[in-house]
Amino acid sequence: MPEFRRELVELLPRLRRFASVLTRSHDDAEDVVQAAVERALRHAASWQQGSRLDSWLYRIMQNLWRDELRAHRRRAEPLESHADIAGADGRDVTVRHIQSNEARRALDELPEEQRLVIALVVLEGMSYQQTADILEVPVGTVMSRLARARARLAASLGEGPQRVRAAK
Amino acid sequence: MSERFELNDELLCAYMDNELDPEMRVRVEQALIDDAGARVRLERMRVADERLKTEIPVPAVQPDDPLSERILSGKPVPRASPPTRRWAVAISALAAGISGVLMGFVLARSQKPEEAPVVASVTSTSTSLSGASSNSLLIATLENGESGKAAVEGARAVQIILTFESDDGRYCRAFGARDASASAEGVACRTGGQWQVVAWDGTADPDEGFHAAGASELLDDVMDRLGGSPALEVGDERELIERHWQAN
Repeated sequence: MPEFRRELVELLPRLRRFASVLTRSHDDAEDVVQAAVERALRHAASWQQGSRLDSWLYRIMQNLWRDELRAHRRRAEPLESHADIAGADGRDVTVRHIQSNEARRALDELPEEQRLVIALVVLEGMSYQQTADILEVPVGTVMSRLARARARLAASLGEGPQRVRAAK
Repeated sequence: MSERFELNDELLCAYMDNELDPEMRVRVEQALIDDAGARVRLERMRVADERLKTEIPVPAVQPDDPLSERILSGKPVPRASPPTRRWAVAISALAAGISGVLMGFVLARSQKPEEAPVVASVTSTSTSLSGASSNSLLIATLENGESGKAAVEGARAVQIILTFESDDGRYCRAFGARDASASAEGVACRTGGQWQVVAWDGTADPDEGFHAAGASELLDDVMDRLGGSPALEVGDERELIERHWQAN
């Protein structure tokens, strides 16, 4: 159990990022992570050692959030403000801050099913099979969601940071 | 002369993600040589990926993070999630003014079922749930109540929390019932023209008012197993009530 707890703590930063993509809200992300941790600790005995703890936690968070949406018929507001990114000078701070907002906003604008495949495949580096297992959908569904999501993201982010600088 | 090989976005994604077998990978690389449009699409998707990774980094480890400390110390992490509690407060507010009730039909908490069995059938003549007057309030609320609005009869109250369609096509409703000394939550599904309670959790704390669904682990699990759609919107729910739960 101490080892399980240590692994859980090491995972927290990644769980928080996944939750922020899932919920698009800082507060809700924290709540979902806490609820998932609580559930994982309560059901620690049912977790099979050797299997991926992160995959299990992602699945728990997804289920918790689905229940939350189902219960309250709400759609979360986008993150109110994303963390400022420090830069070497004011200009860079401004440019990088805009880019950061732009990337996050582009992701937030995707439907949840597409955000989650991007979070798992692109941000977390999961394989298609692992992603399919977490989302409980066929691999073919992961592929089609990913292709649609990437096509939309490429349209808004695919020209790179030069576009942002030029627009300044 | 080789046949035209269509480089659609799914194929390009699988190529980017190293999900292709070696033979297919070679075919894609050869096709890319002759397909400038696909090369541009691929490059744009790569740029977008890199921006996401750079601009949505893994958050830094928080020093003195209370959650980390709780996990490592073995102290219990609070069970109900704050979002659930926040909404529970809102729902409780809707139910404000409801005075004490003794729901006559409080059953013992059911064990976690493998599937969602029928706990009780509720009909106008049924006494499966003890207390006929309580049954009639429950039936009426399941049949006609809108989510979020409490039905009050004397000291008793029932409130629909949400409505959804299960994977097997049944309409199901999560509900709460309470009085000053007892509180319960349940899920009922409409089957063959009557409501069947498929889950019942009589352990809810009456001081917390009606919970949001998800506050009860039992109901959480049952709704997971029932699957189906997200909660119905108000308008859809109202239409179903007006049609007496008959599908279009």
